[in-house]
Amino acid sequence: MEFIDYYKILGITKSASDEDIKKAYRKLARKLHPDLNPNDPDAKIKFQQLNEANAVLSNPEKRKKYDKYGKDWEQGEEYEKYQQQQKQYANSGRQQTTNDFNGEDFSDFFSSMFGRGSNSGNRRSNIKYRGQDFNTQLEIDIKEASKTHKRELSVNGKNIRITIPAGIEDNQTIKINGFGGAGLNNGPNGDLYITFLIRNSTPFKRVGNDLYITYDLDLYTAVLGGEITLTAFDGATLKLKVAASTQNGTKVRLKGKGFPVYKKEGDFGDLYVTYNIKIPANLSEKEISLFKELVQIAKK
Amino acid sequence: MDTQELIIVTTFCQQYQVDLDFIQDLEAVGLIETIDHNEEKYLHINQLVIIEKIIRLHSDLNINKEGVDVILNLLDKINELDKEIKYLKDRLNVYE
Repeated sequence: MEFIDYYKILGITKSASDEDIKKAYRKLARKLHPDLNPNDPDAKIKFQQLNEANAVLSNPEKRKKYDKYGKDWEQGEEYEKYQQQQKQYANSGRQQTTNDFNGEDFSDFFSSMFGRGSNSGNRRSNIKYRGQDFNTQLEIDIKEASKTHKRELSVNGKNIRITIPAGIEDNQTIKINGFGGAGLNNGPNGDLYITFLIRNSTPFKRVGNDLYITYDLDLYTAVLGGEITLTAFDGATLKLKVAASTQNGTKVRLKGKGFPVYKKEGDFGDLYVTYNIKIPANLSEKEISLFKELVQIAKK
Repeated sequence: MDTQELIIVTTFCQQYQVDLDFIQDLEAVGLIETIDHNEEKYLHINQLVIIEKIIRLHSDLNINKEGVDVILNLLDKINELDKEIKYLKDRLNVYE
């Protein structure tokens, strides 16, 4: 179990007064509160540690105990227990110390040091509380993201089957109701938030529902016009007419050939094809001669 | 509207141990909306997440209702800006 430096968490020294502790706690609570840091997955842990540090250091008795044992608190605690046991023996075992609370809001370190939860006066003890929300990330391929599919996940030992709608975006978070932590005092369960990270190893670049691709167009087709074929994102073959005198960087929009729109079955974004005109290399003597002829014609 | 999706305000106050005045104040400030039905006030279940957030900000950080309103508006703006940054980054990626 890792030692937690409560003074460090609050950013104060060991000589800090009660007022300093209160001030440091209030300042950091406003900075680290999970509701104010929704994109920080560690915000809840940081806030929990802050509350824990405040709970210990703002209580003179607990602070004294914490200060007494410092990082060697574990051994100190053992020694104290041993001494207590000896005393109990001497008193014919009339007393026994019990720890009878749940302390779910605290770290193992805290629980070991101060027991699991008695917290008399803890205003939370009788209130029905929603369970903790869980956050997780799921990496999927862009091809998978383009089709509605089912996926089985294991969250805290529980297997859940979810449907991922086509068109889900990179970094999009979806909420699964009731699959978070169990509620306290018969409160409702928390929710599960899944953030999707979408891998893309295709030549298509995605912006919202639109897809972008660069097509290498040969010089002759660009000059004279013609027809090309390209493979769409879904694997279909698309035939495109290229206008004569097409310039480098020309962009063509293919309506409805982009990415599926999230939760709108049958709706698709557009596909943008940008032409990158390839200048021929390794020309034969005849080709060079013909190009020279073209130069002469252009000069006239 | 499905009545199963409504929570009686007084029941909510008992469950969350907040005063009825608190909910009335939130409504007065425009942070939440209640529904009147058969002389009883109800909250729609969709409002639970936002009310819980308001309660946390109010009780954990001692922020008054007007302050909570400012925070929620700013969080919405941050969220919109995050989305815009993501969109612009994706657009930039097309040209890289």
